[in-house]
Amino acid sequence: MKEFLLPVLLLCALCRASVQYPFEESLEFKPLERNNLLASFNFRINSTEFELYEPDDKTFHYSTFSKLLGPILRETNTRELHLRFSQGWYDPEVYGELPLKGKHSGGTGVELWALLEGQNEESVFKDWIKLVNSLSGLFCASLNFIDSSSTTYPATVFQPAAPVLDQGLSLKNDLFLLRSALPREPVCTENLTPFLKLLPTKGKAGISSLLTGHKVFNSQWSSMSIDVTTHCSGTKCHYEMEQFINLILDVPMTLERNRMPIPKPTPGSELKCDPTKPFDAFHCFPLDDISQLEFSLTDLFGKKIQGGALLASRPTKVCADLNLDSWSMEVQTDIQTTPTLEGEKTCFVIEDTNEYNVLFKVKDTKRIKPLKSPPIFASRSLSGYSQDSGGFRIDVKNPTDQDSDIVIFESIPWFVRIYLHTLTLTINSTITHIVSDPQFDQYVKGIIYNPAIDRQKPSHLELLVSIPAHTKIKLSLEFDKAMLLYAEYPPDANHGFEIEPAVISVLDRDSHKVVYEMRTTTALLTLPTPDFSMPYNVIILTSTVMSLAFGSIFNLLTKQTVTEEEAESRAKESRVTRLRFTIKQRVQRIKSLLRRS
Amino acid sequence: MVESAYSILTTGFFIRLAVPALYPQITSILDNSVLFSTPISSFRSLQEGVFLLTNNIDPYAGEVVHFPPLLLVLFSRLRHLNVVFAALDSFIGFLLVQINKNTKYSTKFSSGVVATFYAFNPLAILSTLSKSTTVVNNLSLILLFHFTLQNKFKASIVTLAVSTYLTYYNWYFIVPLMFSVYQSTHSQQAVVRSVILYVASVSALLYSSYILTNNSLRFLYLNYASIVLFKKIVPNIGLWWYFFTEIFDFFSSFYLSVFNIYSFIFVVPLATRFRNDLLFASWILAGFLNFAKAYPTVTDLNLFYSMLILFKVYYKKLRFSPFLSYLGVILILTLLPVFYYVWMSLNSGNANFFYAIGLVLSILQTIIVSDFLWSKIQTEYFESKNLNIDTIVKLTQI
Repeated sequence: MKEFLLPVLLLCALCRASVQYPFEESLEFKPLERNNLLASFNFRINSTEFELYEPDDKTFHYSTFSKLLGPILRETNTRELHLRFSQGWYDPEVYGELPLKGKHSGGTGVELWALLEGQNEESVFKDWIKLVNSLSGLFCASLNFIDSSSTTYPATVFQPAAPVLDQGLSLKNDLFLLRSALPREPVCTENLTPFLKLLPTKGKAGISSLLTGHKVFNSQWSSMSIDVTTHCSGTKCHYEMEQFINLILDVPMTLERNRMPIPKPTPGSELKCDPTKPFDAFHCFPLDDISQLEFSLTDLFGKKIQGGALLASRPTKVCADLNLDSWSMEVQTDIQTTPTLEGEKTCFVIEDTNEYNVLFKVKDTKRIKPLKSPPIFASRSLSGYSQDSGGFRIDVKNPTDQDSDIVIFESIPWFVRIYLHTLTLTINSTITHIVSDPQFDQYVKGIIYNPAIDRQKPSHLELLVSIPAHTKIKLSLEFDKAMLLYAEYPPDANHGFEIEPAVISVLDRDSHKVVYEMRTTTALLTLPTPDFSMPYNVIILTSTVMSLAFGSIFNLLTKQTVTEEEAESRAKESRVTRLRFTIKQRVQRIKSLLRRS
Repeated sequence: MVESAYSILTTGFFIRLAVPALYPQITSILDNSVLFSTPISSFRSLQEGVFLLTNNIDPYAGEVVHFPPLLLVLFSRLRHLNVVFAALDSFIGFLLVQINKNTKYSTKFSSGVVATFYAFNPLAILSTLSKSTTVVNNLSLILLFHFTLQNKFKASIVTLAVSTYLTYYNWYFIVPLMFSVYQSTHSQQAVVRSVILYVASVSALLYSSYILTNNSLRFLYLNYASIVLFKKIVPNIGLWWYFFTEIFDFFSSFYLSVFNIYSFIFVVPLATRFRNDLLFASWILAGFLNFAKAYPTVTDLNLFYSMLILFKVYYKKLRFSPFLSYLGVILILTLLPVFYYVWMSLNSGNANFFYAIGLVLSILQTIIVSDFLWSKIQTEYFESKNLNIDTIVKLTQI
């Protein structure tokens, strides 16, 4: 047996060296302000080639492309799939612009959009439901709750990422773009595990070995994305899948948590107080963040990189975008590896199965490479304090020197009855235009509005707004809140309902392509709630009042009117009274008979 | 005397103009209050409809607009809505004065009193200022009563057709109207002809709306079916909303039919019983509908309580004087927004508070309606026996 094993092992080693699969992975670190660190994991996988319209019984070989995902995409005629899992709050004032221009970051919760091919809207919608149900099982997320009441058909944003599809190939049917989001979905470890299972390394080797649930979701902000696109040349097509995990880690906090898993207050002797402000035994203004740090990947992720992804077409690459004046990066592994400078970044590659750890030494964490400021700042809030009505308010600021065109995309659930005629625009908090003003059109160039239908369709609003340089605008919109039926309220109805984030895309002024994309936070909306303990009381009380009214009016309309005397005399004559009288007499007689005996 | 009535109504008109001029927020305040607006009739959904219509977005694609297409087109043409609503409401006052003159009751108030009662009626003023389309509905009903009283049946049938087109419940009034037609002509053919005219006018209105909305029947669903099926569950002063929020899904359709039958149930009996006084029957019907219909507002109540002034002849035999019941209604109507506010804004009370006061309002209206019915029945008895109305005879029913 042993004689056989050696050649097999040798053969395997040769295979590894020679056969390469269409898979790439890379990891990049970028220090941010206030001791935050952006870790960006990127994986790319291509499938083998196939033809779009092949018979069902044909077998496919998926190679490194996940066999979990491939059949789902084929079954539902999905040509593009974009899935986002995010949590935490991204503060652009501290973190700068979103990684990758925001194209791979979603809003809080789960977001999904896909390009489906089909004959008509109905058949496509059926496929969409099939798709979300399959993905729900695959990613352990509540995607199965997606139905027509949360699905929109975006018109100007979320447009197909791979237009190759329309050019090279004549499609048999039309393409439909569908989108939905679940803002209430808590993103958790159980979503990460299937995410890693899609990779050929399965989280056992390469950079994906760093990703463990409790460390990933301890981050300040995290976003996982999957984008599958179909690329065709001639009749041959293949899927390209890109997976991103972007994390923002608060380094001192992570180190502190390693040192002390159960947080305790810092003892007085270890407090560093600001000497410029008054301090004594009871008062202490803590000093600014720590500026000297030394941390490694094990500190951040609790693990080392378990060797490279050897089946990848390119060796695993780890880079860091550092200001080398105060930051240094040291690779700790069995063989001598020194990171090299590639353009702006310090990088090294992993081509063996050794464990790798990276040590960062920082003299002054405040000295980082300048962060790019986002082209737009935006936030959305709810106005009004009543449970029966309210308003949305979106503030957008253009900090750049150029005018910018943006698209605000909103998908609002049906129980929020929005009034479009109340749409108001305020520029620099001075000039206000309502939607019917002619000046309004100078700023808002286009409105796409698909009103909601109860329990069937959300309101879908896309606003094309042009914001002059260095200008703040405020858009406000009023709405009423509908009441739901008893059974439609979720458990803990008084918690409120999450309204999914507004998506704000900055367009290129010439090509009208999206150059930057961001999302606001979710909004928590409280609806009027009935008293859930009341059904029987309400049924009884309402019915009583109704029958009271019915009874009294019915009597008045049907009975005969007489004087009281007449009523009494008639009562004496009536058959019932006579009957009662005879019965009384009989009873009396029987009683007297009994007494006698 | 009549001249003075007109000058009082003109004063009323100017009050209705002056208040929104001095205090422009009043419309949005009233429009947002639970008393004066429902999703079916609120001014903001009318504005939304007009806005969507003028911007070439189909107003019937969504579920915010519940107005018939012709009304929407009309309002998209109208300017100076303050003046329009003030004029419409003053016209209701004028018609009330006319109806008061034309009734055959032995005792009635003078035109001046009727005019004063309407012109300075807080309910009427607030209803006008809320700019709800129910004002138009009220006008159509008052106009119907006016024409019927003058035996102008063709005009009243067309008015009723328009009225039906505006609001679902108004077709109930076809029954008392047909009784009136029969009473004055004593020919069944005239009744059949009237029904045909009515059906034809309603169909004409519906067909023109169908054409107007690009051959879509969705407006039918939004205007009428959403009322019958109670599609918009929003708190109001009626009995339906809490019942259908709380009822188990399984029973929902059964109770929908029960509630709809309930709202219709007294239409025929009232008209048959009070064949000789169909104005009274219609008025009682309006009063009954105020708590039996799906989306009542104070503007609906206003029609009933404004017409109360016409029936002075029945005041004598009432158990509670109209002044007392009016005060009771006003008291409940002030409590309602308070409890609504406690529930919606302060969060210190829940839906039950508002619901309970709504129930009390319904009970109060039941009492008022049945009190007037009993008074009417007693008066009829005295008349049939040729007794003086002041004779002390205790009546009862068996």
